[in-house]
Amino acid sequence: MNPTSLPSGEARRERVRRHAAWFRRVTRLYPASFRAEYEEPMLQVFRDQVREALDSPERGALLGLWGRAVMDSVTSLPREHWRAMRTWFQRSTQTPARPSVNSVMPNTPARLLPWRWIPICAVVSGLVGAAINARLPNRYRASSTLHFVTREAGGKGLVQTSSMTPDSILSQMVQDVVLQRVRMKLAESHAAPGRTNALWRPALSARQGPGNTFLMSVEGLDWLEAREFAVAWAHEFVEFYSRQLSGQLSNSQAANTQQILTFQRKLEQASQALDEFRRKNGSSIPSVKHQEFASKQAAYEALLQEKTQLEESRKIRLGPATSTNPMFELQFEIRKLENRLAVAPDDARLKTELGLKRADLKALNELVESSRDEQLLQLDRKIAAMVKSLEAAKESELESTAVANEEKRLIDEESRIRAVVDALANQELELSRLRAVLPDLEIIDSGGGSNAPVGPNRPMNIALCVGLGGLAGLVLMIVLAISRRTPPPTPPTSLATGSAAARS
Amino acid sequence: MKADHPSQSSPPPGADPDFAGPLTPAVYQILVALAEGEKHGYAIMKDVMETTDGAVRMGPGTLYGTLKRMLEAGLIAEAGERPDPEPGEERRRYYKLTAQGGRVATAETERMARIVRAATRRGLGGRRGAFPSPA
Repeated sequence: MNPTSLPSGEARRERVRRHAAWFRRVTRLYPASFRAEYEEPMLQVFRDQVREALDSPERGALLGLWGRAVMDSVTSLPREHWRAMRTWFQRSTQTPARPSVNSVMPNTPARLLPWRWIPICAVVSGLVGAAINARLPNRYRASSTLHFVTREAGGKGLVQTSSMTPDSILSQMVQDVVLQRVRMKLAESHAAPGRTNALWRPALSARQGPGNTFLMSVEGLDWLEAREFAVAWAHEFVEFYSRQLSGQLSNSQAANTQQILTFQRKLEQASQALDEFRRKNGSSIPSVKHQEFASKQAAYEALLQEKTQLEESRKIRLGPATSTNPMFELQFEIRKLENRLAVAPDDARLKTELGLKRADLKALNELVESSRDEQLLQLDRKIAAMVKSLEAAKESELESTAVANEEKRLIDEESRIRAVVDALANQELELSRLRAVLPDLEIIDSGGGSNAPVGPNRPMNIALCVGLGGLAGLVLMIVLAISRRTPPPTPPTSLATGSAAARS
Repeated sequence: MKADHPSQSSPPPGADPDFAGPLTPAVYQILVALAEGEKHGYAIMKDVMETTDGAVRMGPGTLYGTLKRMLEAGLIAEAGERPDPEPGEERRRYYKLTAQGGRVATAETERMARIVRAATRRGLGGRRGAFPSPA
């Protein structure tokens, strides 16, 4: 040990004092009874340990000491608290007999003495509760019952609207506007001579009962006033409800009528637009135009066919082999003369006759050809005229289709507006029917109930006070037991358990 | 061989039946420390540390918790307060072994001695032990 490395006397004492002060904070975690007896010896031992650590040449001796002290506290603290608690419980339940008490009340079990606060507090609290109860005024309850009915004789069930659901009715019952009217009414009646003017505020409640009934309860300090309030409340609410329902229906009908007028105006405009259109475009029915176009097209095709036939006949010079065909006759005679000339080649008369016939045939041929050309020319002219006519017909047909489409659109628009008008008219009828079958609230009991008080429940209140007093007594007993400074002598406890953590 | 079994040993005559079983190390070591004479807390702590070669180091909480219960059980008694001349002038509370504490300590020592004898017979003790400790 190097004496020069040791702190001087004053500094050493200061260090010891500082460590001990810190350890004192640790000892405060121990139970009060343990601390009262052993705090100072523990600090003394710790101071000795600090001095030893300061004298020790080992580095970290103080740190090791603090580590062991903390570990020791961690293991011994729960143990001491547990034992303190066990001791307290044993004292509470098995208090040893005190000679003075036992001499006075030899038959009283001493172990029950800590519990005496419970009955004492219960009795005191019960007495106080009874005294307060005696001063509490009586409460009375009056009620009115409403029945939700319909005016419809057929009994098809309730006509439901948003304001007719049970929840809605219940919420409307306690609306300020209804209760304010009831209070005003009661205030007016109370202002009459011989009546009190005190307008009290009773406790109100509304709930749904069986079979579409609604119960309105009024609870107050005066039976007559509670009853009066219940009667006024029921009447005011029925009036309010009917007025409100009727008002809703009237609003709906007015809105419906307005809509009907609007759509009727629209319908008129649509009809006028259709008539105007028809007047402007005439009765251009697309089917007629189409027929016109089709017939012109057929005529055109016939002309084309005729032209084709004429052009084909140009190829057949002789034309058809019929007795009426002069060219065929001439041709036949020419062939006959040629046959005869073949038999008598020197016959001059045959030659002359053959020459004449051939000249006739040629002249006839030329005549036929010129006639055919003339026909073809005429046909071409007709075809050209027909093409123009056909184009005009086609154009007319297309125009008539567009007009027809527009007309159809206008007709559809008119039909749609007419359907809306019809639906609105039906709605109007429905609203009228609804007004006829409007449900109603019927008062089936007004200001009912008994004049016997419904509160306060004095036995229950007193019982509650007794119970709470007992609970307070229990708390008091615990507080007193904890606040006792000197623990009673406890029986020897077993040392065979619980100290295994002595090793560090 | 019934006597060799520690858990089946009977307490010595006059011993408190509550302490017939094995004592905790802290209790037994305090009893052993006080068998030498009256001691205060710090001296007990130092004695325990020395006799166990530093293996057991009691903290203040464990020491005084154990002393409290031993006092309540009558194993030890307070022997007054007086200053210890060695560390300083502070007055210290001394403790001494009671007759009952002496009996309990003797019984516990005998019980442990029986265990040691049994262990030795079975080759667990001394240099000739069947299971020598590793070098």
